[in-house]
Amino acid sequence: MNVKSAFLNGTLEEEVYVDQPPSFVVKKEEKVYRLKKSLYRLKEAPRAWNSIIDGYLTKNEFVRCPYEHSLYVKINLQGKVMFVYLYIDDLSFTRDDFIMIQDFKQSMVKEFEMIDLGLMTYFLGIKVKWCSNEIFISQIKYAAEVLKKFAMEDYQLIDNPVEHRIKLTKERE
Amino acid sequence: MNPTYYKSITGCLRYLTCARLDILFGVGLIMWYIERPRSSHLKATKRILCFVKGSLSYSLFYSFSQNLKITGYNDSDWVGNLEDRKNTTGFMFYMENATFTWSSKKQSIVALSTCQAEYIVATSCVCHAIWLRKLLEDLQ
Repeated sequence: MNVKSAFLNGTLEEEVYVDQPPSFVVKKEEKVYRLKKSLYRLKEAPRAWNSIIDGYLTKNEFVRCPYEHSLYVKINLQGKVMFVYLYIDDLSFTRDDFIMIQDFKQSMVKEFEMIDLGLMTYFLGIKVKWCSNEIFISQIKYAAEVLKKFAMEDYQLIDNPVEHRIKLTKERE
Repeated sequence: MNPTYYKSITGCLRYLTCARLDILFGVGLIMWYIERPRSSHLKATKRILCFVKGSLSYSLFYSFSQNLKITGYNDSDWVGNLEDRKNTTGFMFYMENATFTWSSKKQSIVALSTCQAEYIVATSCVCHAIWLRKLLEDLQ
């Protein structure tokens, strides 16, 4: 799931002022705006957003894993477990119980403007392929893009990435 | 040679190591020279790209399993970098038959013997293992 315009949700603790936007200037007044909520490109924005989502998840009985700070775990009364992994404004989650996910989605949609992207198939350049009880993780699409970008079409294939006993040096050879 | 071009290739390759641990060591090697790349470095870089081209379909495979036993392997090379005489640490962890975490990194100190180099590797590997154990205990 992805949160739409995530950074706009953040509430600022610091005092931040902005100029009047060019298309909306009140000419007579020499005033600036004080921001209450965060805007994109603001230094404070990522932190403000993280506080909001962290507060929300904690309120919903999720516990942040002390050894991996973007992982949240929830165990409900029946002992069912749900994991939420947070990457800035993208949440990926997995669970024991289908109802837990339904509840979570519903409450998230109420709180934030969300897009449900369904089963994870492509995330940050990493392709995930699902086959019943098996998962394949690859970067095939990203790798193909990189090869195209650096015009590698005419090069021949090599079956090992590094020359045997290679010694590179800084000096000009 | 244009350093920006070199940096752009190495940067792309660096991100490609997220799911491609087979090129990790090679990418580490070429990353040492991003400040002042020479043609020999670019050649090594192109070689990695050729390898990627020939192995595009490689992916990591994970299957359902009840066995949560973790096995880790580590090793060190000997004077991989001729300039500062430092070695490279490498380790990876398996759960059943699937690898899920790995690292290849130049050591921060100069080892005076192969034995010391191995100790340095073992230490960083164990640090990672302790973190993994704590994480898994927390998830239980």
